Amino acid sequence: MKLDFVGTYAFNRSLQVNSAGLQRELSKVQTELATGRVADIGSALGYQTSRSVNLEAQIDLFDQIKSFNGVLTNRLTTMQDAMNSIVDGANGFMGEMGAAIGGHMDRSVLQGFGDKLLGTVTQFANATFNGEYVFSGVNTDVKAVIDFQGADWDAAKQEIEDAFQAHFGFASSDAQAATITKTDMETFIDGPYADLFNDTNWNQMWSGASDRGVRSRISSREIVENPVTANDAGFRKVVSAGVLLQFMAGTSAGGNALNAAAESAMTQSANGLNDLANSQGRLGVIEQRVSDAQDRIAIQKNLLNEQLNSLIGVDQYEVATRLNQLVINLEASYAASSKIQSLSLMNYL
Amino acid sequence: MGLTDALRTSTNSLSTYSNVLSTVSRNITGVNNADYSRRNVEIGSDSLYSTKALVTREVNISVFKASIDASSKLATTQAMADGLNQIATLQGGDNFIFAPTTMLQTLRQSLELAAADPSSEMALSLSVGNAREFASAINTSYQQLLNERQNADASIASNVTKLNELLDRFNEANSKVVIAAQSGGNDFTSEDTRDALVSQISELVGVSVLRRDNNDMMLVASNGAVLFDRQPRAVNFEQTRIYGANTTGNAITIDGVPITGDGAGFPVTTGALAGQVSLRDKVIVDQLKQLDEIARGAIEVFAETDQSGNIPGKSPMAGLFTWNGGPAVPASGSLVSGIAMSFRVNELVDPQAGGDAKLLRDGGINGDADYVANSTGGPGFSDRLFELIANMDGNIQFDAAAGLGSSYSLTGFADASLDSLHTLRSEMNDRATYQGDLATHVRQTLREQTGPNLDFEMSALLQVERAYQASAKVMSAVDSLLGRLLDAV
Repeated sequence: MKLDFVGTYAFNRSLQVNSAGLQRELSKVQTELATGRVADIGSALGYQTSRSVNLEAQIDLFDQIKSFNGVLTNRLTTMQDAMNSIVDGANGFMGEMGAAIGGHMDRSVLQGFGDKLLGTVTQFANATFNGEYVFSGVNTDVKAVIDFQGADWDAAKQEIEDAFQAHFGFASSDAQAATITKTDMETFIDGPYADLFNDTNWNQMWSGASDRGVRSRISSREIVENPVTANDAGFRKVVSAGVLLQFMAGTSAGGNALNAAAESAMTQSANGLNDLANSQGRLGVIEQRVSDAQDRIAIQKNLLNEQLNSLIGVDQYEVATRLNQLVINLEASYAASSKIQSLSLMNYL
Repeated sequence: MGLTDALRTSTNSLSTYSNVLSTVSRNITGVNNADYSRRNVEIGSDSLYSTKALVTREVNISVFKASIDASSKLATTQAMADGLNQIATLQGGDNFIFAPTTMLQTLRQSLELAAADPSSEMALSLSVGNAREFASAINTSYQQLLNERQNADASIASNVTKLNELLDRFNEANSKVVIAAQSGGNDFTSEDTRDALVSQISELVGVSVLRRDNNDMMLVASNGAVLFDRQPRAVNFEQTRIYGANTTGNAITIDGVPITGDGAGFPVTTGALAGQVSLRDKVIVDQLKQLDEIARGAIEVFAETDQSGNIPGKSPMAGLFTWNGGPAVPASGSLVSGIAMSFRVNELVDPQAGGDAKLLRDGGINGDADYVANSTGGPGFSDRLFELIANMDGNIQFDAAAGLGSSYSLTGFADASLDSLHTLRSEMNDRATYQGDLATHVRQTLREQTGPNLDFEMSALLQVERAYQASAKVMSAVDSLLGRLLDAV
């Protein structure tokens, strides 16, 4: 006789239990709809939770590298532009010198050529980017080439003078200097003078640059080293050419000797131009690598975004449909509650 | 059979129906009481002319057993799930902002930033700042987890107190039932109370019920330990108020015999207490060990090695991160308990503590020139920073005691720690949902079967009313017959 009846308490309570469940589900769906992500990532992913964290971090990292690469590209462009200017300066120097050689060597003209070349080199080899000297390698706080004035220049000139005296046996300003033959001068230039621009002396007298270039990350796996510093042969040769003219113009050397200096300066800057072209080429390779890396990063980032989305994203349409269904369910449950509550024998007695 | 017999019969039936009425009205009162079991009343013949109302209590032993079973399992899972959810919330919920994994990724990004612009002291300070945040997140998480252990311990203590109190009340109700049974009667109200108490006790410790003569009950915990046998057994637990790195929580004992922890042969596995003990002694302890290992791993990964090329070189020294035992680096692959508490950024590299952030780029944080990686001192030097970033992904040894295995990179280990937490959490949440549904369903079934139905009781009331009226009518008829007889005499 009991079988036909259900406990009234259980009967009423079942509606409460059901609508509580629906409401819980509803709040979850609302969160998902608002954020576009599953409501509880950790609980939904379990052992894959760290993947979602890592994917987000990687996407951030790619954004970061992308902006680094933008900065690096600008830096490389600055370097290319500066080197173009040096190349232009050296070309101009050679044109002017070519016209002068053979004729009478006027000291002040030579001095002027030297000054102009050195001025160009100083200006552009000491180009800065973000307050860093771009041709100084890792020693970004030191000038790549000394200013050709002041204490550094005086010290350097003294070294050349010492080398001159050691080679010829008299000071450069001595009247005997006028007797130096062309061959003697060539021997001096190729020997003691050239030594002043070897690896050790270059860094002591002329430049604060390091051999090591700045290293930068251009993609998640690649770190590239900037291949060009002022220690490259091109810079040295051009500086050497300019200094040679500057110095010789201040000596008492005769026409033949001056001619030898002028010819050597021509040769050196010609060689220097060749080397600068090489350096520019190497820089260009890096520029290309950076630009390739940028393209790859864009692709990788898209892939990662897709992965992240498939991991924690929700289908908005599906969620919206689910929301609708839940609302309908809940309304039906409320309607049923009120009907059932009013359905009691008490009302008819 | 005379008129007097008819009168006696109707008097008797009046008394029977008033008895039925009282039961029906009691059922009506119990309609909204979840613990009330319906009293069933049947009218049977007593002797030749009289009837008797036989009252019984609706019971369904198997559904009741299923119901207490389901509630105790749900309580275990719920306790674990609550604890795990709390840990996940402390780690920053869905954003995972305080999870070691996230902090390490942030640190890596700022190191990349510094490496892209190594001459910028700002970028280096930013890296050190992120390292400081990572270290302080490790310290804070460790302390929070210790607090969680304290909280779990406090919950165990309060639940044990509650359990003892419930057992006392159970004792009271049970004796009333037994006394009533011994005198041949029933005490249905006490039986209701007793069943409700069994439900409540089973939420704390899973129990099985043994029924004996005179409706006596004996309670046995799920591991076989006797909780109640004519007398309540003493359940004891000594609370530990402060938890440190190496604190072991006390076991719960019944009559001095441990029912939880390593000392118990068969520990109890169901009920809230089992869940809280497992949270306190296993889940949180694993998390603590993993934090210790992450801290130790970070010190190892960021340590500096001898750069001088001398053979033999000096042993590695703590770099960006250090600890109480610094500048020595803790032994690789073996857990140092509590290291997460003293884990911190080396003051010598921290600009906020008067240190020099540039040392992060150049190496030689501990002041020994042999550890300097940037030999020329050029500010564009980024090799050391790139090396540190690469080290974060390089495999080192971790202690298997932390529960995750031994060969991981630092970031991999932090990932695995996060994953293991959420695997368990996800499992517990799923199980809690499933067991919750099951427990609700079983409880619902129990109430449907044993609870009174208002409509049924109301119709029974009408029936009784009519029967009562009929009996009264008989009495008045007999009365008038007797009246006529007496008038005639």
